[in-house]
Amino acid sequence: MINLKDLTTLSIIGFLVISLLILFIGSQSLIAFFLTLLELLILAYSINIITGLTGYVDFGHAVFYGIGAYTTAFLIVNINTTSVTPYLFSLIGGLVAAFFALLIGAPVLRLKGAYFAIATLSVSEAVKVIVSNISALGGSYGIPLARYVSYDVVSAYLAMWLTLLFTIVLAIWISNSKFGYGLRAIKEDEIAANVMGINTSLYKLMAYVLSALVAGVVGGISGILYVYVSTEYFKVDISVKMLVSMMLGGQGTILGPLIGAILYYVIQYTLVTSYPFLHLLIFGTILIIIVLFIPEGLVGIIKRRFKQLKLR
Amino acid sequence: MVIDIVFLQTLVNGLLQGSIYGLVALGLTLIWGVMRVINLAHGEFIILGAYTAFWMFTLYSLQPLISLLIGIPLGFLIGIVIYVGLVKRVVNGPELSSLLVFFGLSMILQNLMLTYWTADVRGLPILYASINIGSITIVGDRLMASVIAIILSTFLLILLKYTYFGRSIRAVVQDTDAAMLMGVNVNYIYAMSMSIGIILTFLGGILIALTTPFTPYQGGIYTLYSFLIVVLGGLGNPLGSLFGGLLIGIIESYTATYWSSGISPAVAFLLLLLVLIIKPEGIFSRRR
Repeated sequence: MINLKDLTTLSIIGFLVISLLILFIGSQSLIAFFLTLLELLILAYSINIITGLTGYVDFGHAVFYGIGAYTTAFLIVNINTTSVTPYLFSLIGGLVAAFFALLIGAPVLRLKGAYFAIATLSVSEAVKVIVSNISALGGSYGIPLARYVSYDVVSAYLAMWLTLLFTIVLAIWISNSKFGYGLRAIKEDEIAANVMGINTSLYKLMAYVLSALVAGVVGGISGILYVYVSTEYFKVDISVKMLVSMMLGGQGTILGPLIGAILYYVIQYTLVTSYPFLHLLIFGTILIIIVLFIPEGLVGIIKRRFKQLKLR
Repeated sequence: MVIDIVFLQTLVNGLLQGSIYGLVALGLTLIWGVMRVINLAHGEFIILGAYTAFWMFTLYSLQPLISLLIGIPLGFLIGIVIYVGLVKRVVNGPELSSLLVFFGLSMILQNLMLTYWTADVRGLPILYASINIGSITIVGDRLMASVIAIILSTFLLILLKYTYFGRSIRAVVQDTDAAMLMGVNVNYIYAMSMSIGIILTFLGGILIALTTPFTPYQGGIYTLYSFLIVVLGGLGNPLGSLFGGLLIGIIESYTATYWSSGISPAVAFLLLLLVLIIKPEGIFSRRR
């Protein structure tokens, strides 16, 4: 009898193997198709750490993606090294994003509910406006990287895949650790968690920093991949994309972000190719339908199904 | 003492624009305060209002003052439909649900406006003559919009303060469960607050069309400005929203004059962050 845990393990190992195989046997277009999916997957896992586990809705998570991308681009332009791979800079991008999360998280994580959502949204909008006014970062034009790095899908794919592997290992570790239980306790009842001896401020901050780290690295890799970094990286649409992928799958689970992101990606891809002008309209409608009718996500439905099978 | 003319002119411009911001934010604070849901499509409704004024003027040469009268039933209808169709289902759910539902709505509205009305910058021509007081110019359209905004805001404040209906709304803002126990029909109050909120937003949009050019892309920035004002004024505190609106108008006006108009949103957002962190209950609200 298969249970949810086995299903999770199977799906994750299956996906990791398939996505690695595609790099070797897939066509160029299939690799490109999967590359964007890997990016979305990592981002969904990233936001799952803070929003999925603790229930703090981060509406401005894209800010870390953008900071990672800009840091990486800035380093590539200003440090003239041809001997090291530029993907090394994306790791620094992740660290800078994590450091920023540490600074901003300490005050912002004190806010609850809708206030936290608005605060994170305004952080990302503020950073976006500030960056577009800094001429060293290319202002509103952004930083083109084509002179420094070449468009290379295969290396980017490998970097993205390794990041995904790291992120999934991180998610599994968090889920089984005392840290993960603490985060879930915060989601259930923060005051009670505090009374039980959990240092809630520290736990929330750690979750925020870890999720920022991952998002920053992805931002850096994407910057190198698309050989261009602009304030588009801070757009609220990117934060919402992460939130919806996570929610569609199932918040706070390990399987959720995987199936949510895949389904989201397929829906979005189909809509963009078949309705180039109205895809946002249709997408908005689908988003509302998802929230109204499957708020617990696909994993919730699967779980219920398993329960029914057991009862029989 | 010599008072700088530019300084005074900037103050006047800021106050005029700020009174409209205050009206617009009233719509958001009413919905947020009563139902604890954040209307992320707020800015899109403002732009929709602005388009209403624009098309009424362009197609039928109707003055924006008449568009205001059309905006009331239109806003009411939209509010009821949104409440019954969407908000009623997520009002007691987790934050993420209501935020995403409204975000979906904003995507739909923005995409519709872009597709059918294009991304062109629209605006109304100058309709009312300017007034000069000393060396200070008061642009007629702004003055008109500002006066109407103040009248509408005052009307809402009186409604909230002195009628049974207004008292019911305030009771729900304070404590939904207690209000229900006291015999307030919460469902009805929710629906009405949604409608009145959308009407105010709509009318604010019509007034914004009088003062500022607009595109379908600008919804988001108005949403964030309104958040800032609501947070400054304190959640569910209409008078605070009006003061917050004036303050934001002045800040925006001064940063645009003395620094750069591109940076004024960043200043506004940083201020929002600062207020949220230091005094999340709002700077114009008394201790809770």
